Amino acid sequence: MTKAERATPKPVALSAIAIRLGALQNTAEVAHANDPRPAASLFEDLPSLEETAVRNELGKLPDPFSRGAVEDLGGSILIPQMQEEVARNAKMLAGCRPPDIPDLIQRAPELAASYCEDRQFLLAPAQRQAMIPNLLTAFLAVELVKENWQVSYSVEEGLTLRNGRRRLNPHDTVQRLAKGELSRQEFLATIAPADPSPPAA
Amino acid sequence: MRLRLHMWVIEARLAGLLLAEKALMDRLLILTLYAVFCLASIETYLDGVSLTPIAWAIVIFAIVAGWTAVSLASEGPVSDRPVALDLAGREGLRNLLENVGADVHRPVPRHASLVLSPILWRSFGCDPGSLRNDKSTIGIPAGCLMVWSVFDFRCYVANSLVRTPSPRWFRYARVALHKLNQECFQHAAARRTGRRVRLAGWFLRHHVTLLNNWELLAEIEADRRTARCYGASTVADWLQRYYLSAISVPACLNAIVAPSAARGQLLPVAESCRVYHNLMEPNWLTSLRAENDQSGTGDPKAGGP
Repeated sequence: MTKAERATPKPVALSAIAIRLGALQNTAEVAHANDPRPAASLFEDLPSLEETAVRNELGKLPDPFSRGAVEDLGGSILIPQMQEEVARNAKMLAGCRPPDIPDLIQRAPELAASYCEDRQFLLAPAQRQAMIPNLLTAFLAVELVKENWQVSYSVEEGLTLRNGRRRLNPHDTVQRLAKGELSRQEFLATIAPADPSPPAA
Repeated sequence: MRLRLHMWVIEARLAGLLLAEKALMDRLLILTLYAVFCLASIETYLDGVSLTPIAWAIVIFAIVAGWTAVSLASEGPVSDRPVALDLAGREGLRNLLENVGADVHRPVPRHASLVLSPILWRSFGCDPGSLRNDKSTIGIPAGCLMVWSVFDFRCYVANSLVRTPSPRWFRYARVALHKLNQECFQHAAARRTGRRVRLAGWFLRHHVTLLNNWELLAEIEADRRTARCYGASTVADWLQRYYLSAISVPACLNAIVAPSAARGQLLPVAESCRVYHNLMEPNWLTSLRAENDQSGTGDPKAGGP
């Protein structure tokens, strides 16, 4: 690199937000009374407004519907969705158990050929292959729930399954398995049935 | 003034691009002109020079151009209509709109529309971006109401009121963009190559670039006008929250709210979006600051929100 090249740095491609923030730099500062209350405080009927907006944009709420909390998402929404996904692909997964997942994930291109997607999608072959880890995540979660693992959900951690002191995020577990970050032995140890409690002395 | 000049230059380039795209991709206008020219040549050859064929050429060309414009207008992307929000009985909101209108010296919006997200978040859904060109209606994104403070909301309203609406004829450019996008998708799916494929890709890229550049300049102009009323650091604060909420709210709606609604369960939208937003905020601010440091522009508000 020449001295002239070092002196003139290459222009950096900026995002729109960085350009807009940069353009504000030379604007004079004006003091104005701030109001830190959430904007929701302007709307006393926020729950009914949200319901109206959801009905308008999604149109899927039955009448009557139930109101839930984010924590309920795992057991009431995600696990039933995963059960549907596994049921659609029951033929492909017939006879398989969670310990087979490391082998199944290696066969993703082959499994993609017989993958049954949700009817609302029309996937290209590459997209079908990309769906296989999701299917195996669903399979793992559904099978562990059958073995009485407890389901919880939080925005921070996503879907989490617990069995005694053991806990796993099925999505994260399958992704790490696919990337080779989790060995077969570690995976099997994670999902192995809990040790029977020691007999009382 | 320089900003405005750049916007005019972009408008002129976009108009030229639109005409070139119609002529080269549709070929309808060119073929009509060519047919009329042939007729005129024959008549000139048979009867000597006459202005009548030229007048006919202009009339036929105008009819075809008009028909093309009408057909373009009816072929735009389809989107849902947002819910109208009755402002009667909402004293707090009405007062805020009136105060902001007085602050920025613009007419107060008479109507309000309720949307879930500040940007389009699903195909054929409500497009809050289209409300930005309608000065009589303010779009209220329900997903942002726990993320934004009341003062952020003032900045948002002020920014919407002072922003220059895009020229009406831009809708032709948007329709052309929509059609080019569809055509390029079909070419890619069928793995076609050839001159038309390259041409469609070239026009698509230039349409996107020019429209985005114009929108960005209009936003910068609106930011500066808003900052003159409320201060640069306040507007910078709101801008950061606005940009992140344009990512976090659609993500939350897709990941949490829509799957729940599909199963008949309504989750608190604004609260869910707030939790999602707070989760994404630290990483997003870090990457934004890194970008500002790299470019050497710095951040008007070093502390961030």
